[in-house]
Amino acid sequence: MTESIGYLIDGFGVALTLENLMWVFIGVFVGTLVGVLPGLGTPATIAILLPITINLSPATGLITMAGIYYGSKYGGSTTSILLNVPGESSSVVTTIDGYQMAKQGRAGPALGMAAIASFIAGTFGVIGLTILALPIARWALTFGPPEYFALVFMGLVSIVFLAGTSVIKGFISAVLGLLLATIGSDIVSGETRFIFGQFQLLDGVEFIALTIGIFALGEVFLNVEKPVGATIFKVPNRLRELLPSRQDFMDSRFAMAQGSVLGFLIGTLPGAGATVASFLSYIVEKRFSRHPERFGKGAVEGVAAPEAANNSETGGAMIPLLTLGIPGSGSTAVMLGFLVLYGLQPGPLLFTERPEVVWPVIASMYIGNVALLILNLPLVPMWASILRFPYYVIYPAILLISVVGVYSVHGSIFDVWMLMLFGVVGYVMRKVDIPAPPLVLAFVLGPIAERAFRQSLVMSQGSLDIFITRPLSLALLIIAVVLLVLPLFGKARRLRQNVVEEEV
Amino acid sequence: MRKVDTATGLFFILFGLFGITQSLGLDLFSRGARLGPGMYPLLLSIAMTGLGALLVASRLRGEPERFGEFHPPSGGELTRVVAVMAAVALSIALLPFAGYFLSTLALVAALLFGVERLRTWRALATTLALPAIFFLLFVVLLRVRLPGGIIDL
Repeated sequence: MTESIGYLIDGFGVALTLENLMWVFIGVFVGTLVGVLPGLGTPATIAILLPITINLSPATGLITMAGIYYGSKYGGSTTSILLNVPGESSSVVTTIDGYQMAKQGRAGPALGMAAIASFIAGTFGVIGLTILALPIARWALTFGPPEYFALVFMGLVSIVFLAGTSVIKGFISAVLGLLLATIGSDIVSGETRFIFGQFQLLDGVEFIALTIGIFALGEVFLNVEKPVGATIFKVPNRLRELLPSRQDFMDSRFAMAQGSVLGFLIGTLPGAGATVASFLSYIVEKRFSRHPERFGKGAVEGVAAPEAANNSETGGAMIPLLTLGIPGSGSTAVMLGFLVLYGLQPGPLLFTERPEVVWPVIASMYIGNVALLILNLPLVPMWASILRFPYYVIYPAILLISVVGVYSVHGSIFDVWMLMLFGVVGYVMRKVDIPAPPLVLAFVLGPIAERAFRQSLVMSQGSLDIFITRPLSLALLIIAVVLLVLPLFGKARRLRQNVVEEEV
Repeated sequence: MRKVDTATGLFFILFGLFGITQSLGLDLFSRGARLGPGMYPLLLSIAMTGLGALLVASRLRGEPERFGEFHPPSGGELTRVVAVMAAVALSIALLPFAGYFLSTLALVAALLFGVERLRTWRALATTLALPAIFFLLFVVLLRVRLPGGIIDL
């Protein structure tokens, strides 16, 4: 604990330089700007803004990324409240009460409460990260390949559990992601797999092309089915009353508290993610509320709870990312790729070998939260005015940004074609109701799972017993099996159905 | 949705079977009884085939209304989507030769004048401004290396 605080103070020393402060603000600003654009969730926003950060030093680059992460999350909730258009999947639940508040002329308090709940919960999440990161990192040193495999397996199972309306379709999406991850050179023998003569696939499918294609292009193709015109967005004209009232705060106290704790805990579970956190937090709030009948009709706590969970999850998700190298969500999956681009290997040794990078990033998350509040409360009317542009201006802009985002990674036209291909795949997946997040997470976790699985079998000379004779591996596999079997029975089945109903 | 899900399941059965045949063409085991490069994708392909079969079976068994409604795009909607996809594909094909600026100019023009059928000064201004703004932002300010095409000449 004392050691963590000492490292954190050093981290603040680095993060509070003028240059890094500037980049935090730029990250939050640009992240919010792009996050406001519908169809671009946090993963796509981070991926698109990669070129901005690629030439910076690792610490500064990651600090900027943290700002973008927070900014894009807040940007997503802005459109949810004002326009009933969630910028990303974790903002979907915010639309339920946020848009109702906006329709009742309370857009200001809704946006203000979203910003304040995000700030409070985001700070709570970072405090949790500060206190728990080192203990978890030390504990993570006991992880061997069997434990890693069991952990990734559990992560894959947990994301599928709440991934959409059908568990089978969630699994299909995840297995598709795992199969796509096998394309390219085999990680052990170097032999090529499924490249069909395309040497550009030797290094595998480009992750950025896959992510932007499925998330952004898929959404655009779906939206353009109907003539878009200027009517897709309605922006309210009056945003004078920006801050929530005292009563709003009183109503939202418990929502912010439980959202903060729940979001952080769910964030630490690999594979769970902000979407699950926000949904569960909303459901908990509604179940324990004295006035559940107000939910869905403009209850301010219906905005505070999911927004708190959504942002507290950020701190939680950074723990498995930084200490274990396991991304907890699509966004942290992109950040994992970013760490690797800088030659950093996330895992327990990152904290001891590269403290000059890790702790400034954690310090910058505190600063990012403050920057988010300072920038976004006064700028809400400006963010909203971007959406005054008709969709026929916005969607070509999304397509142009997507092409730049993908091409800039390797300067490869082939990758841009892959973007197009995955755009079509994303559109078809939406039409046949197959959830995209399991695919993306499985694509990231796939190589980790395969490597750990094969290393484990080398350790055990081919025996699968290694997974059940090591206590931690066994415990994780039991949890995974329980998660897998749980939806088949009684209350758990009803809980999942409730979640899905809320989702729909 | 029941028929669509059944068709989706059948597609993934075929996809899984294709994966199995491709995986069997790779080494399943390597030196020292270690797993070869084909074993992991083989297991995944078998899982995919099984999941596809499970989806088909579950849809054939249950009541049709349990699975919700499928909203297929109408002829006009499908035409719009295909037109947007074609415009993007054409723009990508042009990218190496015409460069980023001209290919994106063509893309925005095709979308606004071809797909959206706009005939306004605003549409014309958007067509010219969007590629220019992104060119300035990414190429000039952020120094992202994008294909120059004939503009380089």
